[in-house]
Amino acid sequence: MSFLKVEGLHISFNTPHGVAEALRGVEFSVHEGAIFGVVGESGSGKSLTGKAILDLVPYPGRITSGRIFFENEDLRQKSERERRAMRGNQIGMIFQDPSAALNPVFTIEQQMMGIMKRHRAEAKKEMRAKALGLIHDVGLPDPERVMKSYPHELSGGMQQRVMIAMSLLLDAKLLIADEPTTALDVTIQAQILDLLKKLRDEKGLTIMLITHDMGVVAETCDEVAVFYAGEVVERGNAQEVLSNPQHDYTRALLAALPDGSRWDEAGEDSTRPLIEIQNLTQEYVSKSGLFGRTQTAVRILDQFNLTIYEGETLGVVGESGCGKSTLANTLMRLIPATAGEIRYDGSDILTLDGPALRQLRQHFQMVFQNPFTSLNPRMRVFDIVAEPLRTHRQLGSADLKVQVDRLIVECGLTADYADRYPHELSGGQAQRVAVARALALNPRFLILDEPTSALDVSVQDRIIKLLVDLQKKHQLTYLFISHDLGVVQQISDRIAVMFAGEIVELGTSEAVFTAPQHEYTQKLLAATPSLIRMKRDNSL
Amino acid sequence: MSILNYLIRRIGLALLVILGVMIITFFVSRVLPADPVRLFVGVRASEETVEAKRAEFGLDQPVPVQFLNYAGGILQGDFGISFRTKRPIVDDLKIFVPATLELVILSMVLAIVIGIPVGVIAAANRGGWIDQISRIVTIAGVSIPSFWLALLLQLLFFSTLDWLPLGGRLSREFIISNPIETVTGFYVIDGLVTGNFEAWRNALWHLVLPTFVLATYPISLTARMTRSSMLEVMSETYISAAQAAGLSRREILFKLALKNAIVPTLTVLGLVFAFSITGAILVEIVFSWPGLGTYVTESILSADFPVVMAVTLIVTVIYVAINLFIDILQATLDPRVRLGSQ
Amino acid sequence: MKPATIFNRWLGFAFTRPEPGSANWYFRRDKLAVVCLFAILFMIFVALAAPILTPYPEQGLGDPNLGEKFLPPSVAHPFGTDDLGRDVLARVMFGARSSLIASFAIVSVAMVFGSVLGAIAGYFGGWIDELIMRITDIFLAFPPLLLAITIATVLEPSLRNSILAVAVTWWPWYTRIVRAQAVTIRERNYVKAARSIGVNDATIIRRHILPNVLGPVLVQATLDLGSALLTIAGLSFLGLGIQPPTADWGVMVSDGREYVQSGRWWIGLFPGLAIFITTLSFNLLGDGVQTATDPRIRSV
Repeated sequence: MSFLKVEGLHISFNTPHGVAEALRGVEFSVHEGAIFGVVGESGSGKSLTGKAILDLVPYPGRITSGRIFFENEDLRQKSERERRAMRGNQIGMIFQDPSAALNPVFTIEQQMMGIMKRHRAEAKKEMRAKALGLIHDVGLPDPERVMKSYPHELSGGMQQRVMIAMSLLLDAKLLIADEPTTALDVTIQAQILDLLKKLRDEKGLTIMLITHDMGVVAETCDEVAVFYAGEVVERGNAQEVLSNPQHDYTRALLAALPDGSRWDEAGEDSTRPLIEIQNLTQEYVSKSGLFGRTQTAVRILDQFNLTIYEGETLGVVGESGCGKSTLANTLMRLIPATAGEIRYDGSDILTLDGPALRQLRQHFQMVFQNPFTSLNPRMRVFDIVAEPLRTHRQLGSADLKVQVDRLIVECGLTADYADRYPHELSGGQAQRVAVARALALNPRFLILDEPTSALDVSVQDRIIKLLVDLQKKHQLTYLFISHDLGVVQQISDRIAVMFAGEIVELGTSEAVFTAPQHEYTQKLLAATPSLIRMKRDNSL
Repeated sequence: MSILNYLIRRIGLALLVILGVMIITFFVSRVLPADPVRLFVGVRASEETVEAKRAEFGLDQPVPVQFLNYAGGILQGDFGISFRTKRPIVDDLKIFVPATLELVILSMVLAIVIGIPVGVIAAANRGGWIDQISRIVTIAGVSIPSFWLALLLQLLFFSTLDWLPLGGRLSREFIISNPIETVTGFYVIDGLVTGNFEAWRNALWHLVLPTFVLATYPISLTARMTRSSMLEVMSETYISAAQAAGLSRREILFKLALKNAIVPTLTVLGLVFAFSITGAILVEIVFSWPGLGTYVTESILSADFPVVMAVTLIVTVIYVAINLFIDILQATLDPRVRLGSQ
Repeated sequence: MKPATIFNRWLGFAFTRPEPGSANWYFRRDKLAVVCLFAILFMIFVALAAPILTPYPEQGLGDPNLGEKFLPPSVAHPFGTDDLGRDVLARVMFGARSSLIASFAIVSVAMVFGSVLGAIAGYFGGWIDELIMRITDIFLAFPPLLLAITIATVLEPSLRNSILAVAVTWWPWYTRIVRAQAVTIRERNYVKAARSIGVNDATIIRRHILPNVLGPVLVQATLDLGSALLTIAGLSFLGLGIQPPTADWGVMVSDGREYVQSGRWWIGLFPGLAIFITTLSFNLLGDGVQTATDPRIRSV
């Protein structure tokens, strides 16, 4: 007897191209009190399965066949009324982006009471006490204040805790958590995962945890089902699946994860500084009050110092708001600095303008996180890669074509991609185009701003490999920015850990990763769900 | 930003806009026409008369001084003198503004009472036959020229069926023998207040066609805007979350989504006013309704610029005030409006 | 792009099978919108070919024919004749010219002017944005037709001036739409990439901002054609547009008003019907285009 069992679930979508099967006979079962991981890449059907259990398959999709048993009752045989009564009461759900899942025009209290009024006839006072208790249980301080807040007044982590509390208001036995931590920082992610484990242990909650991150599975789950193209390709005990994967796809997923090894052997230590950042300060003045008279200066970077050596890859790790993006934008002269210097080639780049700035623009280039937002959707690949050449070099159309073709091929695509538009490319191909554009002017220094985090795991390592090859070939210096220590460690010679606008730890990749000195680095490392640690823990 | 700060900032902006509106009407009335004084005195008047009048109106002074005089006059309720009637414009406005507002307010009420429910129901039945029919009817509603619809209804209900009066606010016999005493200027109210029920009934009878014609566009517009904001809200994650929490479709639609959708829909009410008031100009002519529209059209025909400017200004100020009120209402309904007010 | 290339593209767009899932594909499933597109093309054809299509081209242009005043609809005069004995059908056909020219002209002028200002405001931000948007606010503070009436009153009444009067009140809507879009596009990484490459601001606006706001702007423009026609007809109705003897729908309805009591319904009915049908076609077309291009509201 199993708690939740899905048999032969098929879901189809009407699309302009005809009927598309999104789920093709999904089967799995979940034991009561387990944390069941559902893992797969975007589009594999994992979220859809979660929604199907609650009968919330989005338009224009529909369940064509299959059975869903919850406590040995077939949910699909139930009436709409019965199913609605199950939602919330028996099965709760939380979503990827908590800020979108909470209604912005109601306070938390209004939302929670609205849910309870629907199902319970308890007195208002008791319901309120229960809501307060749950808010306390999910680890939020000052429940009274939280109740009176509007969603936008809470941080992302707090919002997700509130969502969890809301889903438990009616004592659901099963919680479907759809990528609950993807929109959150790693340290917050760790806290939310801990909370889920605690709820399982203390309340006997069964959790179906949908994620794209094998690390999260390794960290949290008892059982796992691996989804690929609408099917479950492998399932079983989480430890067993991870340590001894049977299916090729599972193996590929695991192989792509950072495992503590490096892509390239560390180059010999360069000692010639390329860029020296001295006392860089970035203040953001937030205006409030009447006509912005009350001004509060927020320091995003505070007396920041960093030297980047020629030919090295310097990894910069930190969570959102730590100042790493501001650092990149300042280096690229996209935003002005409040104070300080950035010395490059003997001059302060913060004071350059006119021809000197144009010269600098050729030496510094940047690759952005999401390739689809960094490529203009209305331009062909050719024009995208040609843009820097058109801006800085006077080339005839034949020369231009030769140059662009060479760049595209160098980045691992064929010349016929030049005629395509970005939407005709996959994520990996689009990122290659972005890299080709960055290389067009033979830069010396590249800022890589999370260049792989928007890509599926199986594509990530190929982009990293391309970047490593290009670095060798062109003697490039990289500043590699990421929120993920695991990824940074793969490619970096040195790592700088940033927290609240300062570098709290700077050292060789090896040293930072294996023997972190600063408390925050240790916390970050502990919060990063990774196989390395799992493997290390297992071997111990 | 606190609600008080938001209020003060928003009112400041409204005042700035009114100043801009005054500059534009001033510019259009005093600077664009070749010689407004010549228009006032007529072609045959002598040069001396023209210059005398120019001095009397202060039009011989530098443009900035002229503007200050103009603005100062308006602040004291002095909109100048009509070229045509040679009466102070403000006296005319006291008669015509209530007549027009009577039509406009009724049309706005109909837009809210009919338009919003129709939009919600259409969104709830997205793609169904109710939605299809309401799509065609509401698009037809925003496509039909009001002055032509007025004409058609006159042909039908007056010329052919003789059920409803052709136009005016009151039948002639009432105007002569039993007029409605002016208290507020709104016949619907005044007739009741003064106990003149027969004339009141007659006034209502006269209101039917103009109100219907005037309300057609606003009702349709409100229904369409409500439908699309409802559909937008229904695609949000928090609606899925509410479904996942077991709330019924009715509750989600009418308790949750409507509150989310009402915030953008409120903006429509400002537009509804704008369309009603300008529609009134066209509709009043067809129905010989003695309101701002008739007043302004007669002024247009006789190139009576001061009147046209005064009407433009007063209607625009009312419009700005309504939009201000709507913005404040939105800020109280949606906490995010207060924050992202810039 | 060469005009010939653009023309070829349009031909291709119109005559090849659209790729499933494209906006064109969704649009063509909306039969009503497609019918409206053809109705508008038909109207344009009638306007152009009016002198050939009617047996009374001189009357269409304004010559009186006092011998045949106030004739009710018949085979010879399907829409009857007016107070000067002119064939109403011929007048309606010639009247299509000013109405169509006016609605396209108003929308084009307002769209180009408004979009450029909006892109500048959204891209640069700061005091430029503040200045442009406050001016926009002031223009938007006028109820739409009212300012047009005001401006048209002081100008010499003519087609060109009435178009100008309406366009002056229309551009701020486009400025708002484009600014809102430009503010988000400015933060897109491709704009950052272009800036970090050193592309100048004018080129960024031209190459990266404007092409990416074109979609929503064109949809809005299609939706606006109907309102523009109604507005211009309203101005003509008030006598502020094109002047007799040139045929114009708004003027003709205004003439027809005088004959309601005497039961000569055809004089005002048919030109008004022409306004209604053309506006309805524009609006249904606009609605179809909007639905086809918005993934949130279209249905598969």
